[in-house]
Amino acid sequence: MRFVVFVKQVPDTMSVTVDEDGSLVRAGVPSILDPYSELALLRTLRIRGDDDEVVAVTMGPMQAADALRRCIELGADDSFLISDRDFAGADTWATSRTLAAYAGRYACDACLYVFGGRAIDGETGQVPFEFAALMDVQQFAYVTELSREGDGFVAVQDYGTFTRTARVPKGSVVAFGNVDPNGSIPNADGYLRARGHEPHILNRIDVGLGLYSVGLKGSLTRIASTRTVQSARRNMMVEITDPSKAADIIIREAGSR
Amino acid sequence: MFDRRQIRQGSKYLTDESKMTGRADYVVLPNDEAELREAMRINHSKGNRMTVSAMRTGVCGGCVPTDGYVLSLERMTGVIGIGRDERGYFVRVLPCTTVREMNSLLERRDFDDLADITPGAIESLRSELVPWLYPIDPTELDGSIGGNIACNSSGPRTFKYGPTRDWVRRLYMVLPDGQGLDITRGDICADGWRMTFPAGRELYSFDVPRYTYNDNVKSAMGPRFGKDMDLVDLFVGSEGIFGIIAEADVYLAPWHPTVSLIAFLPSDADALGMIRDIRADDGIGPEFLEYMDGGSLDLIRRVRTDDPAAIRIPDLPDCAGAAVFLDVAADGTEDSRIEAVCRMAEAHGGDASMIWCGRGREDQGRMRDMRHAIPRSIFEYVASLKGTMPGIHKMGTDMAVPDDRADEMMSFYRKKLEEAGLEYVVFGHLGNNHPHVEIILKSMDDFEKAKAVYAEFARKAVELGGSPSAEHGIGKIKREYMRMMYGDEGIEELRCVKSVIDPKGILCPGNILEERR
Repeated sequence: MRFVVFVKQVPDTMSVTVDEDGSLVRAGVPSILDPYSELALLRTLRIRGDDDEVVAVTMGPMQAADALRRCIELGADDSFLISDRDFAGADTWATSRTLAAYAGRYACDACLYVFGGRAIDGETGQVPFEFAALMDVQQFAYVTELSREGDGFVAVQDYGTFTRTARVPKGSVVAFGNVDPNGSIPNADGYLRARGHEPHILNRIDVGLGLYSVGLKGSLTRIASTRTVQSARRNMMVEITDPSKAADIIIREAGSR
Repeated sequence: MFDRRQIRQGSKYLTDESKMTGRADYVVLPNDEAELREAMRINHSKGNRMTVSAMRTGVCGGCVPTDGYVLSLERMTGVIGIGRDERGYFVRVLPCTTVREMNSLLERRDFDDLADITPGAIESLRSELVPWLYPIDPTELDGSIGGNIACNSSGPRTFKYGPTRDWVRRLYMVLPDGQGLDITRGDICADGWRMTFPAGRELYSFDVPRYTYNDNVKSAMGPRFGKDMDLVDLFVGSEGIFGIIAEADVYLAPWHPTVSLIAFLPSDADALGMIRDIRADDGIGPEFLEYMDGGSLDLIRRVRTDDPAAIRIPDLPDCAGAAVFLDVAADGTEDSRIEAVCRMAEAHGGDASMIWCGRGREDQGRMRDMRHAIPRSIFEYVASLKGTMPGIHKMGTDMAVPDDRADEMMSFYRKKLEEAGLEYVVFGHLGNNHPHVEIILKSMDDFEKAKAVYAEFARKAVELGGSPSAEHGIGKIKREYMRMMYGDEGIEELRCVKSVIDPKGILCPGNILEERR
C-alpha cells in the first residue's frame, strides 16, 4: 500500500523576532518542516507495514526540497517536490487544486492521503478538506490517532468536547490536528539514506494544469491590504519572595488593565 | 562610588548550584573596573573579607561566602572588542559575560559597538567565511567567563580543545589591595622556580610551588605551577584567591558544522565497550564523547513528563539501557564516520535505527537538552531537599583517571556505592575518563554515607594517577582533596604564595585553602 503524506515547509516561527517598530524580522529565519506535517508523517510511519511505501509531497520553491529530505531522514521512502514559478501566490484553493492534480496523475492508488490539519505559518486549515472535495473522497479532521484494522484504518478524532472513533475507508483524507511537543530526531539509518536523496521534481505541465488554474491567477482570494497591529505592552519586574504578596501584585495589576 | 547593599537571609548571593549556603553582611556591586578597584582598596584597608561571585553556577561553593562581603561582578558584563595576533582572533570580555552571550554575538557578527583591539581585526573577522567562536563548552553556558577562567573549567569539548587555560591570552587582574595588573601570556614568566612581578608600587616575589600538577588527565586542581611558568597561569584555576579577573582575552576558533549522534544500547557494559572502541579508532575523531547510564536515561524519562525545560526531548527508546553521545565534524567525510559508529553500535547490541542523528541547531539543541537534563534535575532535586535538610549539598563526582585505569575506577564507583546502599546515576565525559557519578540523596544519613564514599573515590583517583577534580574546581567543598593530591607540603607552598599576594587573607577566604583561625 502507498501512503501519500502532504507536507509543508514553513519559517521557524520560534526564530522570528520583532524589531523596535513591532514588525516581524523575517530575514535570516531558517525554514523547517512544519510540526503538523511532521506529526502526520510520524503517525503514518507508525502504521507502515513491511511492503508499504510512504511518499512525502510538498508544493513550494526549490528550497522546499530540504523539508522533503527531512521527511526521508524521518523514514519516508520517496518524495515529490511540486515546484513552478507559476504556482507563486496560490491561496488554499489553488494549492488544493495543484495537489489534487498531482494525486490524480501520480498517486490515485494511494490508500490514504495524510495532512497536517494546518501549518504554523498560516493556520488556515483548509487545504486537506478542499483537497478531499476535489478528489471526491471522505475526509477525517482533527485526527489524533491512526491505526490499522484488518484491511482498513481506524482514526480517533478529537473535537475538543468529545472524541470520535471512526473507520477510515481506503483512499480517504486524514488530517492530524495537533503537533508533538517532544518532536522527533532522525536516526542514523534515515540520515544516511537522505544524504543521497533527491526528490522527484514536477512542474505545472507535469501535473497537467493550465496557467489560470494555479498560483495567484487560479486563486479565489485576493489580499486587499495588510497592516501591522501595534499592541502596547507594559512590563514590570518585581523581586519578591512571599508567594501570597506576589499573587496580590498580579491580581492588582490584572485588575488595573 | 560602588553600590553596596545589605544581604538578607535566603539571598541568592549566599548560595550556588552546589546548594551549599553561607553568610555575608553586604554585597558590593561594582559597575566597572574603576569601581572594582575602589571597592577592593577600601575593603582591603578595612580588612573586610570579600568573596567573589558572578553567575553563581559553580558546584563547589566557590562563590558562597563564609562571612564578610560578597563582591558580585554581575554588572561587569559584555564584550569589549576583538583583536588578532599570531595565534588567531581573540575577544576581550568583561568577567561576567557568559559563554552563551559571547558566542551569540560572534555568531551574529554583531560587531558595531566593539573596539578594534588590534587594527583591522573586526573587519578581518567580519570577512571570514565562517564565524569564529569560543570553542570551550563548559556545559553551563550561562556561567561567566571569569568564573570559567578562575576554575579552569572545561566541559565535554575538552576532549578536542583542552581546558579553558589553553584559550586564555590576557588577564586584567585586580589584586586584593586594589592594584591593577595587566598581563598577556608571555609578558611575565618565572625565573626558574622564582616568580617576581610588579603591580603598582608593589613588587611581589615568591617561590613557585613545586607540587606536581597532573597533566596526564583532565584536572581543575588549583593553579598549574611549574618551572618558568607564565604569570597568567597563577590566576587561571586559582579560584579568586590571588586576584579578581576584571577583563580577559580569550582565543577563538573557526566554527564548523557537526553532526550529533546518540547511540542507545542495551546495557551500561555495551555503552562502555562502544566508547572504548571509538577511542581506539583513529578514524572517527569525535569532538566529545559522553556517556549516560541506565539510571540517567530513567531520570530523563521521569523529568520529561513534568519538567517544562525538558519538553523538547523526544521519546527515548524503551529498550535503551545506556547511551553514548558524540559529535563528529561535518566536513564531507562524516558519512563514513557515522557508518563506522553504526558498525560499532551493532557490535555492542545496538543498530543504526537506535542512533539519533541530529544536524542543525534545533535537533542538536534538543540532544544537548537531553544530556543537560540530568545534572539540572539533580540540582533541582537537591534544592528541594534544602527545606527539610538545610545542611545538605549536591554529591557528584568530578574525577578523571588515566586511560588504562578507567575501567578499574568505574568498577570501584559501582562497588562502593552498592556496598553503601546508595542510589546513583553515572553520566558525563567518558572520552576523558571523567564520568560524573551523582549520588541521589534521600536523607542526611545518605549524605553522611555519601561523603565517606566520596572521600574513598578521591583517594582511589589519586592512587590511580588521576585528579579528584577534573573540571568543577575545588571551592570549599573539595579542599581536602587538594591536600590528598598535593600533600601538606604542596598546600603550605600554596599558602606561602597567598601570604605574599594577599597577606590579610581577605580574598575568597576558604576557597582551595582551608582557613587558619
